Amino acid sequence: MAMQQTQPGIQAPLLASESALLRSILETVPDAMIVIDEAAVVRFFSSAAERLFGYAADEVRGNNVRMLMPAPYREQHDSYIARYHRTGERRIIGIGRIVVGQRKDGSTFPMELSVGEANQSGQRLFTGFVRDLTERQQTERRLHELQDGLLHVARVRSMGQMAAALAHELNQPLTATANYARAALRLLGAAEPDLERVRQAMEHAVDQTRRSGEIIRRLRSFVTRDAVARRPENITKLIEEASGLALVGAKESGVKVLISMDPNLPQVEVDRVQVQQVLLNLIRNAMESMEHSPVRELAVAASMHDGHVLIEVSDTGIGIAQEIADKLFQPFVTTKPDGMGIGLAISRTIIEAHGGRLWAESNPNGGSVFRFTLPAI
Amino acid sequence: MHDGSRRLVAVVDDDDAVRDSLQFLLEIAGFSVASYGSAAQFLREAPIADLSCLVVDQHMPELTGLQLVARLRGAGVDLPVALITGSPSADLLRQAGELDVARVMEKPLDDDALMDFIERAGD
Repeated sequence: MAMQQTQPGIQAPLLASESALLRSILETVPDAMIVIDEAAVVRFFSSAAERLFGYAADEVRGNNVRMLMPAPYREQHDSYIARYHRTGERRIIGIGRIVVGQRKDGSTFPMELSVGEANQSGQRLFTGFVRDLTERQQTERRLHELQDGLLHVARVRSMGQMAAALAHELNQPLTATANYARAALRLLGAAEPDLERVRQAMEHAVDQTRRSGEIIRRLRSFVTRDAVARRPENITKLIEEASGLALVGAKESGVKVLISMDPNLPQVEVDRVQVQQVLLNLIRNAMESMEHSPVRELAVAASMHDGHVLIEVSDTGIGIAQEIADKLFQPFVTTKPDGMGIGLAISRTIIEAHGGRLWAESNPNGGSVFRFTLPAI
Repeated sequence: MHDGSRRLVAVVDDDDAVRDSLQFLLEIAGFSVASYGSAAQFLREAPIADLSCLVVDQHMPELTGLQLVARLRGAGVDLPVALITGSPSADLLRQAGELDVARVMEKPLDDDALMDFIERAGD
């Protein structure tokens, strides 16, 4: 489009005015816009680009666009274009990328670059839209800092995810074991079995059952990690973080959340990640149980009780059906269509390993209350 | 032993133990087997014209089993494929159907179904 003004002929005046109109529109686009030709020479440099890069359009037009890039891109850009002409392989055109730009004063900044390609009278033009990401990246960094402080997100996966990962991991050695055992059976079915190969198959099968055992042991030590990972923790902060994380990801809307904590709670000696996993699990369960409830109230409370900190998570959801109340904490008991039924079982194991207790009751106002205790220091 | 034994069965799985055990089992059942640790290695090295069928794991880093099948189909390769997976979701089954995957098999594998697939493919 920047080329239209050079079109010869009687249409020129019209095109010129169109070009002016186009240009006036482009001047209002907040993203910087740069048009280059096949030789990477800048043909158009919008006023947003002037502000972003600190160059006047006249200083850039007619020059190679690489002047807007820091090393090593500055040296490599011509070869990128040559490669595109040669192979037609699009690495950036129509895709968009985050790259680094360089201002007139030599400072660099992150930018999002989207490139489009146009054909003008047999000549290729490339239009680049540049968005300054300085601000956005700062925002994201703050968010990451917040999340890191909030929790080690990667470690505190939901227990359902943990179960799915475990299932996948266990399936591998089980599959291999079954394959070797079947191979051995096939060998034994022959008229003159090759006992040496049978022995090989069985050795492999034994190795793989050992691998299954390792996975089970790892899971057990993850759930009931010894006291090494326990430290004195501020229970108020621990609960606030876990609640925050549980509620941030919640899709359910219209839930009223009430967090009430005794201001004088003592410290507890716990594995923070594990206890937060338990809280996350209880809060998520509570949210899910209220999905179809007319009243949706979630309360998280902490208080002192007989030398223990007592933590309660209560909801106004569907409550606990009588028929599963007794086996609520047994593994593989679930009321959720896609649940594994291991969250509460693991939660109870974790709390008991900390010297506490975890139990459930019906909420007098409908719904359920889960309570657990942790010994105070 | 089989007609199929003269042609190769390709096995692609990133898990060494699963791959080796499958190769062991299939060789004992009389098939010739070529195994690959990734879809990329398969694409690079497999003698596709000599294969009678492909047994491929879905859950692999980088290219998944279905992505590999999609590439093969895109290149006009109509090799019979059995896809192995630990979790055969409805979505996976649909995609497998669209890519003309002959069998989707759940881990641990059903020996008879696997042999049946390979023997049919070798016919």
